[in-house]
Amino acid sequence: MPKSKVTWDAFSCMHLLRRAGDGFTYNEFRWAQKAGHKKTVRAILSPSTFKPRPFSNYKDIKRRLERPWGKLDFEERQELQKDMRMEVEGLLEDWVIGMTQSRYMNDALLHKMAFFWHSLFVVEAQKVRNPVLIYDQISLFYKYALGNYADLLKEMVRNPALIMYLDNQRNRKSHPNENFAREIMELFSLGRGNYSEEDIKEGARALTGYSVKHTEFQFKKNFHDFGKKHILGVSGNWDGEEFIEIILDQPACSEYIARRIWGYFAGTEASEELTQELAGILRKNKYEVKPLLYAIFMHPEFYSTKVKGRMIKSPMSFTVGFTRQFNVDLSQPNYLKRLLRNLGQLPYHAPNVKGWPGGRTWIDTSRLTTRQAFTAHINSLNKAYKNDMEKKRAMKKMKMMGKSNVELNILKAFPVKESDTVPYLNYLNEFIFAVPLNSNQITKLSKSYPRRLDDSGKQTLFLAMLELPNYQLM
Amino acid sequence: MKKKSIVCTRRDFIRKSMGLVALSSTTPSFLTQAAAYSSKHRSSDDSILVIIQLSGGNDGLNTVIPFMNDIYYESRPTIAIPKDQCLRLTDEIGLHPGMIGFKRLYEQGRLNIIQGVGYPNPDRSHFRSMDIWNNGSTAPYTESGWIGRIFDHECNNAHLKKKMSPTKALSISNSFNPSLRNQNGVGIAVQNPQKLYNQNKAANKTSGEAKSGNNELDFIMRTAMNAQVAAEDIYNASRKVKNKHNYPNNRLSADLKTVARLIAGGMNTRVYYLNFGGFDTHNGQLNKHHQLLTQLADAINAFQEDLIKLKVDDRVMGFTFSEFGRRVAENANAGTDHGQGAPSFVFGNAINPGIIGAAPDLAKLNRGDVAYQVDFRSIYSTILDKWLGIPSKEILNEHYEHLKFI
Repeated sequence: MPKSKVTWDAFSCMHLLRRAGDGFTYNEFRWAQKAGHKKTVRAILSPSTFKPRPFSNYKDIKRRLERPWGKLDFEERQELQKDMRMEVEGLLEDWVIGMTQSRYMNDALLHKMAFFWHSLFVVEAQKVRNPVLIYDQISLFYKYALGNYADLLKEMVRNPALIMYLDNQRNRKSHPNENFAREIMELFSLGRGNYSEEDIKEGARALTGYSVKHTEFQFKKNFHDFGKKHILGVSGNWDGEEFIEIILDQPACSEYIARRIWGYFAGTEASEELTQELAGILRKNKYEVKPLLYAIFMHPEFYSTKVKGRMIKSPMSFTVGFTRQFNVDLSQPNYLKRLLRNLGQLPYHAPNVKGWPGGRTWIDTSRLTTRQAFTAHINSLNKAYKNDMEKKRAMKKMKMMGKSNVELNILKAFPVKESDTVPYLNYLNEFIFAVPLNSNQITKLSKSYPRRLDDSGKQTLFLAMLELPNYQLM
Repeated sequence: MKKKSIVCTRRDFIRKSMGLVALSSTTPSFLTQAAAYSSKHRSSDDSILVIIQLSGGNDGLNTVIPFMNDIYYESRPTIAIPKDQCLRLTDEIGLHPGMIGFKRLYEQGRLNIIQGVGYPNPDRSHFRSMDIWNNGSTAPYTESGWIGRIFDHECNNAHLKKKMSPTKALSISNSFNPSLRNQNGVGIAVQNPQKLYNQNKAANKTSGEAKSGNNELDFIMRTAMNAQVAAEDIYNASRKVKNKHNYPNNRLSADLKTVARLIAGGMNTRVYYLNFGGFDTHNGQLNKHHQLLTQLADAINAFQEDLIKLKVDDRVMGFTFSEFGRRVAENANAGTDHGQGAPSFVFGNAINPGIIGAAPDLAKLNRGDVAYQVDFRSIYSTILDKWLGIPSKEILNEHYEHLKFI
């Protein structure tokens, strides 16, 4: 590996921690700055022990789904549908809560990559209303989060959630359905312009009979077309796995995936030169994702002014970053889910199979005020308490009233000794914003606060800073 | 006793005459035409809808009470409202004794009661059932709300192709109501206009430099400015006029007070969404429910009086709903559990007063619940077509029969 060409100052360090983990704790920052660039990247990429846990009724629902639908009476169907809906709601809730509670940098990246795969292999709960299928797919995203893309793609071609979402259970030799084959090439592997309509037709034939029984993949031999297919220039009696192998052999596939992963972390479109460089790394490592991530996190362009501070936080980054960085507990039922829904990024609720368009679409007047209201809301719940007893009592009372049980102790999260307003502002300015305020703005802002701050004043000022436009960038 | 001003506006006159149309076939045709024009006119840009969501599942049977029904009293030995306490509306049904404000509105001809509102295959989960009402659809996971779709529809309308003002719909709360969800950035959550204004002002304290050299930051700054303009509009409108009627002291009243000022202050908002919670009365229902219904009826009555004094009453109609009603039989804790159909109240100057739907048939229950008679989307479609002037089929995907409250 070449020596790092990046100046490892506080800004580069925070930039990496923001992009790779959506945020950082004070201690993480201190550690990373001391450890240096390479060691930090290695720590971020080190294996995480986190594993998603199935929802408690997983086995029960799975068993009930083994009875043929036609044999259930009206009431049983209704009951099952209702239970499934509730489990889907619950498991999405658990997923997002899990993401906000990662404790180490490597856990945060694991979540972030699992979510990346979800936003690539999109499934909408609106169509696939089955918690077993959704959970099974999420656990694959975790299994392969920093693993091998080729293996994941092969899993996806046999993935019940994706098969149902893209209607492949209806793809039969007698009536081919091209939906799955089309999206595999257009969105999951090659990108537009790298295949022909003929390739889609032939690819669809290779996928005939790839179906679902109950909640498991099933290859329906009778529906499969065993004939000869001509896909992307090669002929043979290809089945689905071989179809995928042919795709993986295309340079366009490594380029597409490299571009997508670069875009996810850097927020910019990779140039042709950069794409070739990253795609080469992916190919050389047989689609292992880790070396690609290493290359991205070490790349000078990742630390260039075109990238730093130029990405609008996705709702996911916004919430995960907030909770992670400032040690907030948002595990109140439905709270995060509702917030993410209002901000436009509830998992398994992407607008369509292409996923979330991202970028500027994340922000409009109502979404921006929702983001600001969120921080203001947190603020209103966070009075500075005289002592732990008082705080405990207040929290308990809030919980009883059904209000969000939000816990935040900013003074603990950022141990700042300064109590003069301007130095305090200057200190926070560097930690909170990817695009810090200039001295003019600092002066302007400080004017609405007393010259010296007590603990509650510090907290108020701190949260007010989070409502500034600068906080929406990373 | 009619409290309406004797001096009628032209519109008022025509509307009343419209009532005549139904009675007499000899009405001159110019009047019918004018009436048609009037209703069309009202559904132009100046009609306003106020939605009040009663969260928790309001006990419809103790709200609109079938006081002649023995089954009602048999099913609720401890929590039934005694016959002599009901505020009689007809020989069979009466309002809960706390709802004097509604009785008054009813007598003034400003209240319509729709009985047994619900939807097929009811769901007893608060969350899910509220979702269904908010989405205006029983399909799972509808991503837009029924109010939100009004603005999406208007934005997509080829003739208009206009950018929507974000203040066209307001959620009078701290969080955005799901029924307002849309794709065009319409809708702002505001419970306290001053707070929102201050917050936005603070958020923009640092701006002022038009170009930061960072395009994304500039974009967010611009959006923040727009939000600030909206917050300023709301704040200014809320201060332009004072409420002219005294309201009781409770959360719903405070919210309605704000709405009245915003309307009279000239906000461009078409839909105001309010939330009034606490209706999940599983135990010790009597006192709690009495308090809630009193607050509800008094608040809306005060709101209506205020609108009249502010001279904007012709432009406003409102309705209340709850995600479901409650079980007919009381439970062991002197409360009631989740049920199905429940009454909705429609109020305002423009509505046809009365009672729609029969008193619930307590002899024919659906799984222990009052069965629904009116699909809630009929309320929506009536309001969309006849009040807001939006083709309901575009919003609800299907045609739902109109109700006669407008």
